[in-house]
Amino acid sequence: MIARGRLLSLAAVAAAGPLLGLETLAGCAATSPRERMDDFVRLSSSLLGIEGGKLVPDPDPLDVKSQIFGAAQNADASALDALLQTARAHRGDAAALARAALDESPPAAARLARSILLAWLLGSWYDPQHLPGSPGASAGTVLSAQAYKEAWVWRIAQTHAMGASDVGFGSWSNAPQALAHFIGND
Amino acid sequence: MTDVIIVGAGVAGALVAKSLGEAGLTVLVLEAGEGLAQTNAAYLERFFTAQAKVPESAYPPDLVEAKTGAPIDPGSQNAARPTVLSLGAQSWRDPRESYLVQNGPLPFGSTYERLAGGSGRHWLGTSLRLLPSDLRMASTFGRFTDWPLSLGELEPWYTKAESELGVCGEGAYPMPAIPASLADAHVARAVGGLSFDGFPLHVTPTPAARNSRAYQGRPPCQGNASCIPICPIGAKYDPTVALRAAMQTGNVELRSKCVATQIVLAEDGSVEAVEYVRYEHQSGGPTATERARARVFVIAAHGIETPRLLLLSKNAGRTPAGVANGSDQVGRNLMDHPIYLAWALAKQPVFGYRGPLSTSGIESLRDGAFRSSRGAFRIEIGNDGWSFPIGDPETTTLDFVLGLNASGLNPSRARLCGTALAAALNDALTRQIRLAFLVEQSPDAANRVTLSTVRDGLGLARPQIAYDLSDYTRAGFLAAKRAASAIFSAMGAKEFTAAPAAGDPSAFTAGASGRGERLRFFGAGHVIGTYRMGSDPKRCVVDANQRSWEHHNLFLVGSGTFPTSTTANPTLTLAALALRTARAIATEALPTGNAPATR
Repeated sequence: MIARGRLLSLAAVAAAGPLLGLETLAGCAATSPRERMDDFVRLSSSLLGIEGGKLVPDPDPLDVKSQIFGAAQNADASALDALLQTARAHRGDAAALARAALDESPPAAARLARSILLAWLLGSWYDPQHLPGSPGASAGTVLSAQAYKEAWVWRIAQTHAMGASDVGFGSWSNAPQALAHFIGND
Repeated sequence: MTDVIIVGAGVAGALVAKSLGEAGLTVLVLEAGEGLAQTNAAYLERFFTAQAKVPESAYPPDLVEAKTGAPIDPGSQNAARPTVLSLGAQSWRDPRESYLVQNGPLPFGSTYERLAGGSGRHWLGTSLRLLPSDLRMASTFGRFTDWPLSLGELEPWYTKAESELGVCGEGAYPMPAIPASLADAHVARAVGGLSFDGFPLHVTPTPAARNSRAYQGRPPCQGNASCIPICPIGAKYDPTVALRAAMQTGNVELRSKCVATQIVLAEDGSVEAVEYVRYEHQSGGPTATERARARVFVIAAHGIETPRLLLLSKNAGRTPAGVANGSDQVGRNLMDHPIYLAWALAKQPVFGYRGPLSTSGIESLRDGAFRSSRGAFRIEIGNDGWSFPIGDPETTTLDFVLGLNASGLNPSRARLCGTALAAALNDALTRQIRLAFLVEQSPDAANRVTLSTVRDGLGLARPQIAYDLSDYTRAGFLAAKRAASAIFSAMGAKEFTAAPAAGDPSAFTAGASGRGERLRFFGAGHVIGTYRMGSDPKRCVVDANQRSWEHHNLFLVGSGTFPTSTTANPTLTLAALALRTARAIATEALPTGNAPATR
């Protein structure tokens, strides 16, 4: 099982590779795509308050992380680089990392961090330049059916995405399992 | 020659087709939109990837441009339909966004589908019978008009409809009731012993065409919480069930992407053909014009497209007011069950966003002497948090991440992250509850579907709508508002029902002038009353068999025949009436078939 997991995990990183682009790889010689994705997951985990292994299971065949990473890269590659550097600088302190990303980053990076957070929660991408509540705000765009179904807000509400039930007949008559079951650390 | 042509493959058309096909009659069904797909997978994918998960989001034609998200001009589409997305302050009166050419003063808030399965694709499944007084408003309360048939005459057809649709409920239904939700239980506990205007409040399981066990080869509900717009597993009945069964008789042909343009009359006043145009793609105009002949014709295109087709049918000037319109009632008395929506945070979690979108309601306020002066209502208890009123869980999530307060839940405009964010969202989303009050709307002749000068992608005149809420209906809203507050108060819940925003086109004032309250309504998706049935040919379009008073071989089915809006969601009743009409066609209009039994 472990070997199979590692293989799938590597496959996921390989799939994410093209999203990063050669230019980015050349500009960040010190960090491999895998390290960048690790930084991204650590950043995401701190923003959401959900442990990385829960957020991105191993193996991760659904690979929503690469869709969000790709959207962030597309929206503002330099702001993403800045956020990944922040993640590297705050290894081991999730709360400090979240604060640094959201409150202490340059405005473009802080906005991108909120777009990343929203993408994990809702499965939709919100243009960091036009976030809801800001002038010229634009609506989100669902990243993919998988991203919608895996959106974390459903688990935070102790349920599942609309149309993607993983429970059985009559389950709604009883309280769901505790929140920790849905988002708690393993 | 084909025995029967049916225009429209929705709830009513599919049941008529199935009944007549089983009776050995040959049937051609013309459907304006897409036909039957092999599976629902593509529609499910559309729903998942739609940012705005409105009732129309699962089905074609497209609502927005895939690349830009901009609304598609319905004037470019061959079989466009209304969408909730075009009910905004800027869009509702703009024919480049709204398929319905809305003349107000209020927007008609309900929408429908144009594809095989019709609007029954996105219905909730609520399957209530009418009350005796619903059919006798004039006799009982001195208001409006009576139906030309009694509840007793409808009852065997209700039983058959409940069997066809697969209704679950408490009592004599094909299946036992679906288990109640936690929200149902909370409301039931709180209102136990409570009265409103002298009427006790009882929470009861809502009969619904939703499987509580395997039925007709379809599985029991597993709580996908997406009944509107699509049940991923087919536990909710939709008209494709009857349509497939109809086609399996070998007597029924479904012809999709065929938009009827005219009902053609013979010299003797009978209908001899339907003219229709074919198209291939969502836009681009027609590819062919054809004509189909039959012995009997059934128009089953819902409360807006049916009158549109009747009005379009001018027969080279022989019927300048349209077909079947000697009474001048075609298109008039457009009704809905306009909804008063109320929402609150319960004291403790009710764990919404799970289960069917609704499992119980309060039916005990549907009848009383008050109906002589105000609209009655039924109350639907929602299991979908604040999805309906504010588009949650998105809105509250945006609030807590971006420091906004559109939900009303983040007055300090905190910007949260990490475990504090998860805790705030969990607390809010698990305690959300909403009630929908479906208010009885009065029939008003000025609420009307006519033909616009604005055209669709086929060059056909689009439906033009005049719509308002009468004092009778508005008074129902005032009572609904009082009832909502009484229920939330009994629950100890904190109400968050928001006053309508400035410029909200669905806002209106209810109550005495100068002291009125500003409220807003939502459409229930019930399109009622535009080709009413009755016993006086001068004042009605069809008789009790839904047969045109003027054209003996023309039948009009669907909730457009309802003379009054009643206090029940219309689908079960229109299904029962459609089955009854099928029998009339098989036994009276075309007596050569094997008449379908009532049971």
